[in-house]
Amino acid sequence: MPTLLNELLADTIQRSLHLFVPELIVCATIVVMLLVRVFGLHRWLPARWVTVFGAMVAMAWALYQFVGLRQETLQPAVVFTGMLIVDQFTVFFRVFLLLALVLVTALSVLTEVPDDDDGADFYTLLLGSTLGMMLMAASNHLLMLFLSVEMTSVPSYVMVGFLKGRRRSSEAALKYVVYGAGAAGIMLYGVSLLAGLTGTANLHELAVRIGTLLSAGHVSLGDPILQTALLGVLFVFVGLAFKLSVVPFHFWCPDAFEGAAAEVAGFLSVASKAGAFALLTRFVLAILGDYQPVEVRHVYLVVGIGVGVIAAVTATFGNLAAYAQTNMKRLLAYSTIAHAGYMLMAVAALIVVLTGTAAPTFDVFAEAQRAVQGLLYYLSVYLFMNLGAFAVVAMIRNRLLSEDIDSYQGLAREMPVLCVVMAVCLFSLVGVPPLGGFVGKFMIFASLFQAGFVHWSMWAVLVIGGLNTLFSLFYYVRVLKVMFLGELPEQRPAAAMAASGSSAFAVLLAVPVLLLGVFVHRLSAAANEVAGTLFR
Amino acid sequence: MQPRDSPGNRFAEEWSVEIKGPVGWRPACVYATGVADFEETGMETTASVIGVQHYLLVGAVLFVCGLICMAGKRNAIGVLIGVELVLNGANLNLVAFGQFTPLGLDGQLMSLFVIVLAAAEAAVALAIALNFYNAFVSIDVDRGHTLKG
Amino acid sequence: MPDVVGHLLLFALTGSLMLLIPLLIGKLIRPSVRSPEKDAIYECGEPTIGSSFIQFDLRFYTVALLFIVFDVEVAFFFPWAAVYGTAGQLADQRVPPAVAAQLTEQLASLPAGTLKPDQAIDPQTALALLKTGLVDILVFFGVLLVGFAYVWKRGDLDWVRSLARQTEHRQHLARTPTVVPPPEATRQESTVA
Repeated sequence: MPTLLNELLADTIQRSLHLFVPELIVCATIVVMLLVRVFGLHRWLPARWVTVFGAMVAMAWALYQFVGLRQETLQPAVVFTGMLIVDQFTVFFRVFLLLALVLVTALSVLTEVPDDDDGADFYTLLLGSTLGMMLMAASNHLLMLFLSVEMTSVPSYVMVGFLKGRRRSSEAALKYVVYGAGAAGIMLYGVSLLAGLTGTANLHELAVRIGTLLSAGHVSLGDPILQTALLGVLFVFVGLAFKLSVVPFHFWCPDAFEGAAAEVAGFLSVASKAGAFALLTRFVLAILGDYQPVEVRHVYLVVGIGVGVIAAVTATFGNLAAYAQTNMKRLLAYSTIAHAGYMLMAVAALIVVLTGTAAPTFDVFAEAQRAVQGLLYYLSVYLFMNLGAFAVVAMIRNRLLSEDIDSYQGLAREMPVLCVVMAVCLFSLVGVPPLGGFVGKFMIFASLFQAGFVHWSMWAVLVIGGLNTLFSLFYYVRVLKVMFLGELPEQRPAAAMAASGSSAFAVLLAVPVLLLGVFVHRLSAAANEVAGTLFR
Repeated sequence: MQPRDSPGNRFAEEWSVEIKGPVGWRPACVYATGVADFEETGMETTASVIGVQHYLLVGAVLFVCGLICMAGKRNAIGVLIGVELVLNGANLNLVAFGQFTPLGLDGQLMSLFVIVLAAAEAAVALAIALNFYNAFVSIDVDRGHTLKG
Repeated sequence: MPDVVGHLLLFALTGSLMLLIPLLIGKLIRPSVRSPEKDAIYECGEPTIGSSFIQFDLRFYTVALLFIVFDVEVAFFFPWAAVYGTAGQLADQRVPPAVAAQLTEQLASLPAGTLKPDQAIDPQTALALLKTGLVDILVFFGVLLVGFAYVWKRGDLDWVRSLARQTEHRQHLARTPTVVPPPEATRQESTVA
């Protein structure tokens, strides 16, 4: 008689697992890799090939899902009794993250960072971390929000400390784990407050109930209910801000990146950031909700302006601190912080736009969609340009055994291809016109401009963002000047590694940066469609 | 796309059972004000008058102790103890909310996952602390000074 | 409310008194003849050797870390066991409807007495739930076992580690590209017999 139980079983086994296949493939890859090591087959079947194969299969499946969702042969759904949501947004990030995984694995195969003995450990961590990020993008429940952030963080702590026996690496890992665990604890407390206040942990329900609460008149700042809600939201933001290395919580970033291998740092700066932005977008939309009476909007507007101010401060701080750096990885770490600031501006624009009622012609949802579209485009370009920069750093490290900018003197004469790739990536990070970084930045600034019609402060953020772009030019160009105009020193240490195929890989990363700057339409249309699913 | 309710609530709807207790949702003030509302909401009261606010108070005390511990200790193990206190404060909140609000079993389930996750995190953090000790012969967080700038 | 506070106060008061009174009695009636022997640390009648603040072998910590991880996984077995046990009973054809209704209430965490006997979960559905639960836990435990086998195979559980393996390991380390000079000999390696 109770059909519900049957329905529940069928829901889990037939529907949810089917939509969860890419994640399951990643899990299976981990298990297979460990089994290979247990049975001593790793001499014939190295962990890196298992990883590449598993990640490729998972990515192919995710691409199939993406196409299926676009052509509506596959329906978006809330799976596992509301824990996860699988829609185009989720699947976009699945493809994105698995692509990042494939690229980072390929890079570490080329630069031979984990040796054969440790390969299984390293790739298990890499896959586990990617799994966490994929769950971040799919979260539809407060438990999944916390769990996915932790699933991403815990393997990354170990990856940062993976270079065993090196002082810097162990120090970086300790700093990372101490800050990370603290931020996670605070976030969980925020989660518990939100869950208790609304009596639900489902993000959709949360949106409705917070709306109900606020419209019941709890809108003055002296009201304990609003205070609790804001405290909960603030604490969750703390946890996410840590993952994004946004300013008051950025301390770990330069240290962790300097201590970790360049491959790991590249992965963290690209993939971890993308996952965290996906989660932030979902969470922001959850707390904003659909239900907004006018008197509630000013509360949200304050939140939006706060995020905008933090974004502006983050971008400015990152760019200013990058000036003084002598270590290339540290410079890129500060540049990562600055870029987190730029991307956060898109989120600020999203929040502010959604509260807007400036003019009757102002289409709130179209503008919000455009803000998310800009974020997605920027993240996609960022994947290639930042990973490209870190890849070149790793390859040069294998040649020079150094990551100091001073040691890059005149490198363009010795490794012209790598230096040109570095130039492309760095100019794209600045946002110089024909490159992908320019288009992404332009989209974000355009939605900030639109948000400015709702509240003028977004124009101020826009101006700060523009000035930052100008600042950042100088320190990136300083690196290029050393590389291209410096004198080649007489004595070089002998090459540590043969660099077969690494130039080709670097070029492979630089080409999309160029293409995304010229052929904008395809990706931006896809990003727009993906963003649209969030507001349907 | 309609969000699904928690399975417990759906069971109740399916069987059209009239349940004394937390099925319908009402604004949180109901749960926050405590004693007077117990009659009205008909929630589990047993013999005691310990309400959700008492649990929350203990949770908040644990949270603040943990925060102070995290901020004040220089010893890495001390910081980790602080993190555990914070996590347990939040856990206590979740279990209490599970008992007194419509959060229901979700609260207990969340705290179960958090317990396991906290253990995993502690294991990783302790391993990293050991690694740090091997390099620096100390687990004082401030002793790490090779990374600056 | 005052009732509870009263109880709590009474309990705390009695507790402290029970502690303080013996201490006071001891202080009043014990003879005080001080000697250096009496101030010495008691160690089962043996003369003490060194301080008690010594460092234990790091291998204890490694084992403890592994223990924590595998130990806490058991927490996931509790909710599973609750559902699995009840489903197992419900799958039994011989259970009378009234009892089945009670069990269903337990399973769905509904208050007692809310279901009529004909609303109980039928044995077939319970059997399906039972099978799903079994597969679930087998997968979960299987993955755990793979992890355990991996740790075992890598030799992380060996109490005495061979030096040959360690040196082999360090050769590997030296091969990976590095930006800093090779590490000093670490403590862990020097303590291994």
